[in-house]
Amino acid sequence: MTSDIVVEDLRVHFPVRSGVLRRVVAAARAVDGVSFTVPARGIVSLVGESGSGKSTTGRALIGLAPVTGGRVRLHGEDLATRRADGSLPRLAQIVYQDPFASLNPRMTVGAVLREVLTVHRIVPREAVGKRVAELLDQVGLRPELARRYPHELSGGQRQRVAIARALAVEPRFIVCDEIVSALDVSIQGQIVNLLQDLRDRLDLSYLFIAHDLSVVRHISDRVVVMYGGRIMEAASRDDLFASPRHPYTHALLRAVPLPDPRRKENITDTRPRAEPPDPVAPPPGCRFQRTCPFATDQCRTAEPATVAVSDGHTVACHRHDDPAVIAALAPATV
Amino acid sequence: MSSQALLDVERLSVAYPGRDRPFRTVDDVSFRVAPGEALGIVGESGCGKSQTMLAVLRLLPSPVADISGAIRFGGDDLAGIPAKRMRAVRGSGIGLVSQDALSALNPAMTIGAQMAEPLVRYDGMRRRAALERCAELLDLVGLPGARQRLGSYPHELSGGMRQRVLIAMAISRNPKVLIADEPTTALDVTIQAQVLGLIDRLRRELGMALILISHDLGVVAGITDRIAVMYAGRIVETASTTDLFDRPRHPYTRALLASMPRMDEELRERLRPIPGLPPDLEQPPPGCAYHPRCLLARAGCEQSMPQLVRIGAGGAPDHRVRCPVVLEETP
Repeated sequence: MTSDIVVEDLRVHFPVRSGVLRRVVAAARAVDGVSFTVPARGIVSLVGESGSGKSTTGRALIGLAPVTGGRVRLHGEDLATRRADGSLPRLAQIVYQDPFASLNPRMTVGAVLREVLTVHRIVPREAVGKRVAELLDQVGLRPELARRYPHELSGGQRQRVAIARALAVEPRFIVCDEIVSALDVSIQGQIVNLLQDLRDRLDLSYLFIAHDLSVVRHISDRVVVMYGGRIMEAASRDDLFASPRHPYTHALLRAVPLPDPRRKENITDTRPRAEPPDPVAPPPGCRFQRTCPFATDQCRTAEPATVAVSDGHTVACHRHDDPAVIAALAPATV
Repeated sequence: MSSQALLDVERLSVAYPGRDRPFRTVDDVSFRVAPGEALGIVGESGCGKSQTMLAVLRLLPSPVADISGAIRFGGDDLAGIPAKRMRAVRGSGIGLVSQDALSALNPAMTIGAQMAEPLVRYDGMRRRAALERCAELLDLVGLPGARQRLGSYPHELSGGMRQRVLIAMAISRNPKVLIADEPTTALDVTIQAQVLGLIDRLRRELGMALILISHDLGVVAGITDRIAVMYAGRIVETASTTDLFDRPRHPYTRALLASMPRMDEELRERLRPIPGLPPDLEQPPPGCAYHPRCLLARAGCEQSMPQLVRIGAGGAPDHRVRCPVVLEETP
């Protein structure tokens, strides 16, 4: 299968400055050696909690965070080349969680879309109006909405406008950064269904960054689980949800609240977990060691290698083939 | 039931002056909470769930918001008592945990100073004793290194830790009712599980009643006894938690449950969102506010707002629904 996006050993390290001279004294390793691919027409989800590096990874793929190590290829060309020749924004776009913050409050919906079409010279000037109407139609909005301002729209409508803006440049790949997290449940489904329709109609691929695993389970082809800037586990959607092999994935799955009063596994009054590792000085060994119930001395000293446990299913855990751990992790749900 | 109600809210309405005419964010809401009982209030943005609780605590901008109805608590009608008495009720009678701990905490005060302040001011505790109590409370809510944390500022704590501090503050004066308004919405899912577990444990250990407000039916399912579902300012269905999930009756409750992607179900081809949008409260549709989105709507639904009617026999758990169409179904 051809891959639209190939990420190899990606590192995003931010400088930590100190003192009057603002000298660089350390590096915050937000993303620290991450590899995955997004196939053409594929939906790959990136999950993990705050500070896991999932959003920074997404931003790096569209040139909004510095790639300090490793490489990213988009449609066969290096990200740096794409950036230099100006083709990056035409290929890869991003939609954020809060469209209210990402849409200019003083521009109408139509003006927002016209600006993109004009700046990138997507269509001839005389065709701009028609294209705006087409874009609105593509995301399920009536053409009259072009005259409205963002504050006049509902949350779901604003997110549709943000998607239309991303579609305006006719990209091949869209980073969706928590785009349904702020929406009401009854509306979330409208946007998720829209994303699936657009993928089918326009041959798009998505990196779907999210923390809600029930939505991720619904939309993804593959799921990549991050913690502390690294990938803990990656697998096809079915494999990951049916047989998680990393203790962190298991903890994430167990924590999802189920709308069933008889299932209470998401209510765990465990004492608080250890904080995620400090990105400036991560501990030696596994990043998840301080929270992991299965951690051994080996986990505190040696970084676990990423190994394939089955076709397309990789895990970075020293105890991935320990029968006691496997038994404790399965089955996570249902 | 009425004799043992701790908090008894009857026909509560909140109205604001609109552009053309007044509109209601809370409309004819009645509910009761017994001592130790956990009530969930569920609904989407703008349904009035937070407005209801702010009205109960008299935290709405008072001459602007026109509040009517009775809020009976401990022999008083909170709607009518003087502001000074109301301040005493907040905290010692009813504690509040809000969603955004960072804006609920004072960024310029240490955790210890802001936690101790109400204990010194309202309970007359000595500062040293108050700080001692704060350390105990932080330990109770599972904050690691509780005593050292008294000297920390809010920004030095993680989101989950701040939420624990907020819970410790809310229970510090032994309230009889704890109101938690979306207490876990801003948290990561693993932290959410711990905070829900903590609230559930504290309620049992301290014998508090709990009102948990959430947009997420999954969050309220595990830790409440009863649930009220709100839509466009009104309660459209209320039932015991098990009954609501086993036998949801109102078309909105059913559609809301059906719209959720669920981890404990077979995957579906497509999600089933509710079509359309919630109504503009300034210009609500005539009749039942849900009828424009309702799959069961029929002639008459746009004519008058249905009443919240009890269903089932007298012996069955109290289950009420505001929809005449589903009342005609054979159970």
